[in-house]
Amino acid sequence: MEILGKAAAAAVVGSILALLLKKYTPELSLLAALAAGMAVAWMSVQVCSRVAETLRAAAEAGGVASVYTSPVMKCVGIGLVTELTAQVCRDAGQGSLASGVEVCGTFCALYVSLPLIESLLSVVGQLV
Amino acid sequence: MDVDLIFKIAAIGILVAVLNILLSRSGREDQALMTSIAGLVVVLVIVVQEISDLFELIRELFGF
Repeated sequence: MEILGKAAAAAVVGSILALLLKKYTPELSLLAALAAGMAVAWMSVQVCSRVAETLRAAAEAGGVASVYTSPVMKCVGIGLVTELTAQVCRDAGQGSLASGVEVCGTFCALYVSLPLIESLLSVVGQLV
Repeated sequence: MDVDLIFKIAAIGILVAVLNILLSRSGREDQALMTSIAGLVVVLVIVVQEISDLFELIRELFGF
């Protein structure tokens, strides 16, 4: 749980330093904010790796086929990456770039969950 | 990917800012621009490496 404290401290320090640099070198202030964001994301991914392993073990123990669980994990990863990138683009003032990244993330998530939809259709087909 | 990366970037930023003001005050506008571009490139290289490490970690963790 101390990761949360460390992440919060890193985020606050990063934003203050970004504010400091904004007046003189705006691009470096964006890079400082980006570095702080990546540091916080890196810490949260460390915590999340244990959660992911436990979920995977529970899925195998529960007999759930990996066809169902792996798209879910992929969608979570894609959502994480897309959200980080889109917000960084918005920080830089490029709203259109951010929405472009989000559209790309949506289609990647859809593409990843195609096998899930196919298996759903096959199950429904058997029922009918 | 540690917290000291943020401080490193902030230090480079402050250095570039001070150099910028110094050079522009002494009338060397072009060198001030060169300095800020150099600082930007250095920080960009560092941050891009960190971002690729992070995305590689996410890709390997979530399996996509």
